Amino acid sequence: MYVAVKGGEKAIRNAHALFDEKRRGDVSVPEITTEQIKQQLSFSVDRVMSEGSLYDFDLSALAIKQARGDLIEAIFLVRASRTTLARFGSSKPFDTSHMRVERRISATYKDIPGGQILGATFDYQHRLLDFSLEEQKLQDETSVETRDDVGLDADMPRVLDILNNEGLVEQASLEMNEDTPPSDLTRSPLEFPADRSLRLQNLARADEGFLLALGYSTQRGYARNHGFAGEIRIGSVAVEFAPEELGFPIEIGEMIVSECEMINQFKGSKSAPPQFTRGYGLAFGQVERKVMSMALVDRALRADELGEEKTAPAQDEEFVLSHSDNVKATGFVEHLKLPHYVDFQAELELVRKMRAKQRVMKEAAE
Amino acid sequence: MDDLTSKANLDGGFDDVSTESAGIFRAVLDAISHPGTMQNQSVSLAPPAPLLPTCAAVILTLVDNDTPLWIAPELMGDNVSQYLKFHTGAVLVEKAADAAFAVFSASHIPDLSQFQLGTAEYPDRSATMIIQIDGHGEAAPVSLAGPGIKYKQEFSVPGLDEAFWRKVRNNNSQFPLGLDFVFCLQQGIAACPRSSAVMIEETV
Amino acid sequence: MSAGLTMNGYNFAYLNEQTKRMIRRALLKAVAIPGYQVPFASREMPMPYGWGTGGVQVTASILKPDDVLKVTDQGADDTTNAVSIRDFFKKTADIATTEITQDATIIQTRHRIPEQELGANQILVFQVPIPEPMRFLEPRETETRKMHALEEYGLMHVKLYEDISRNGQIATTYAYPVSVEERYVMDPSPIPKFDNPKMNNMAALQLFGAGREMRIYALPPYTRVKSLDFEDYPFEVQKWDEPCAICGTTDSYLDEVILDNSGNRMFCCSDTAYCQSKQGPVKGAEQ
Repeated sequence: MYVAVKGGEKAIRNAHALFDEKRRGDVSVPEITTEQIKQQLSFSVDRVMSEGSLYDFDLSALAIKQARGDLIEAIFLVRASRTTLARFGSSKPFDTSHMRVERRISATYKDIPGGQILGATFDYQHRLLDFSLEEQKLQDETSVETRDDVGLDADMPRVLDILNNEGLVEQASLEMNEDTPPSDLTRSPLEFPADRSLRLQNLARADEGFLLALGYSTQRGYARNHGFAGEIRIGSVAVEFAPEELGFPIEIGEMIVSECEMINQFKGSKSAPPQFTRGYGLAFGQVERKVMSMALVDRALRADELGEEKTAPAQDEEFVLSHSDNVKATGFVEHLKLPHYVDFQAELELVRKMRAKQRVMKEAAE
Repeated sequence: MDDLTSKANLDGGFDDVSTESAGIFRAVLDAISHPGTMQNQSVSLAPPAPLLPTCAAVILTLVDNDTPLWIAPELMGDNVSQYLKFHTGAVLVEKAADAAFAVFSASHIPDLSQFQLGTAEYPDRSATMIIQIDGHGEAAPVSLAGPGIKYKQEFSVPGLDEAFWRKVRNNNSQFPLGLDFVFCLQQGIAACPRSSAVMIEETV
Repeated sequence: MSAGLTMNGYNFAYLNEQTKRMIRRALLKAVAIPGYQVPFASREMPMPYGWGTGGVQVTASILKPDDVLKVTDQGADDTTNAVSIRDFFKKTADIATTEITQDATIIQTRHRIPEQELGANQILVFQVPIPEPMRFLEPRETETRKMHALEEYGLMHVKLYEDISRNGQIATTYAYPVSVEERYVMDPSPIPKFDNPKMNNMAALQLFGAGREMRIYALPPYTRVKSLDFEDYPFEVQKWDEPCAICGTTDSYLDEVILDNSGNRMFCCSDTAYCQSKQGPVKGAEQ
């Protein structure tokens, strides 16, 4: 007797055991450590932290190892783990003008107070495969100039603040009142219209590829707003938290973040004078491509506020915010693998019935 | 948190939050799914007077720092407010319109029109009334009908008089907006959601 | 074993208490406003979105240690996703499970309602992919929310009517929209329309969880649920010309099973527990 898809339990167990074996790969090759991932695949770790919405290098590295390097799976693992954690409160807004800068560049000025600081970057590298990396090298101490050798300024004013002295750039429109905490889509469901803090949170957790494509689309004429990278800075900032019982903020640690402020051309509209407008991006870790894309999309999503006509996907809040999350997207796309035979059966029956009806009508007509 | 001095009020919570509150929640869910039926429920809590253990249990199960809580003055001794702040982390609000949950006793029904009824687009943004039944007073007989009830459900609770039920009937007429009522008695929990139609029985 | 922790070190039923309270509040609102979709701050679960995270969050929030859980997918207890979800709750809540419909206190389901009539002491939890019945007619949430507020369901009727004019019948076979207590139009989840009549006046509480879409809705017991139709085109359910090839029953939803390469097929019950019960004695509850 035929019975459909029996033995699910055993099949699942076996599939998972096989996965574990595949993950380990050839046992004659040493097993990768999470410490190695943390040190040597740091961009992967940073992406998982930023889209996983959890600032924890160790958990990210573990997730990457467990997911065999599939970053969206790793992000998913981190998010699911986040669900079990209790929440204590929200930190004070951090001040990135007091960032301990590792990298800081502006495309809008040749030189800026505090200097252009390239830091560790892919930029200006020739993307030639470096076959010397195939060999393990015994690394001796480096002779690279570090931050401390150069003697960087402790405080670096934001480029946009300099430009703003002339009043050419709009004031930052995100008026954060310390008494009203920002919206948080992990604690209350996403609702429309969304305020800017909610949009920015959504974008900070959003899939890098999705943001990249949307940001790119604004450069190609779909909601063209012509961005200039006013400033990109990457480095550590202090995080402050004010426990209820203390009544004043204390520093609880540092976070490495990437920040991008885009300056966008704006011809003016009924409600706003011609001036440069802003788009903003910020996320955990060194995720430069992500925050640049985020800033472009943030700017595009401000269409309503600036009285612009909405014509392109990047300006469509419901479209962007509802589809930006890769954990949701991958889940729903991949759920098509699940059995759907009950519904398919219903459709099958309908199509048969409709074809039969059509045949009868055709015969009657002849 | 500086007024949290009395140790007594830090005790008296659930021994095992996750399983005990699961039981209480199911009683509330059953009550609201079957309007006008009593869900007997034993409670291990020892809240400060005049809070009933069932009432405290419902509050601890549903209320936290995301849900502003309004408590009627006659229930709100120092001990009660310390106890609830400690065990729920809820913000106690003075304005009824700010409340997600309101707690009062059947003997002092506040002006119900001050609480949020929700909006046409978001009828869920309404307040839930948690009413403590002390066991005194007139018990006007009513019968309820609507979702959760097969034909009709007879119901009467000491302290809830005809005037109260007229307000509940009026509340139902605003469906899908409206308040939901949870009644906490000594021995258990009952409820009357906004969806229940109220018929007030003729009293002899 | 310390208070509330299962042997695996998770909080009872995985979710932290704060999350459960948030979901429980949404559930109470959902029961109080039958058919209305209550927004809730859905969490990431350890299974993917689209694989039952809404149902799992609802189940996790209503579960008590003495519950007996049944999980089905496509009507079957042994489909891989049903097995996986049942194992999740065995692991994180340490509860009893069963395949026998009438022994369960909570039944989580994807795409079917059990054939066996459910009782007042049971709760049926549906996994819902797209909770908004008008989503494919109007993709914007801001618009559909307005339509529900104004009870403006013309769009839905136009769609069904266009079906009739194009195909001579309503060409919706599953996720067939229903009207709840003559107020909210509701998506019954992708159950075949064969199951729609079971929702009407059901003695059990029906809860619907859509995790990815962050919505919870409910049908209290004995709620009037009507499938949308027209006077001249009344709602009707699927029928089969033959009985189940395994148990011989004629009143259940049948799956078509392909038997060989030349396309020979047979029909058998999609509800495996029902099919078993019609065949004779069944397996007892497992711990």
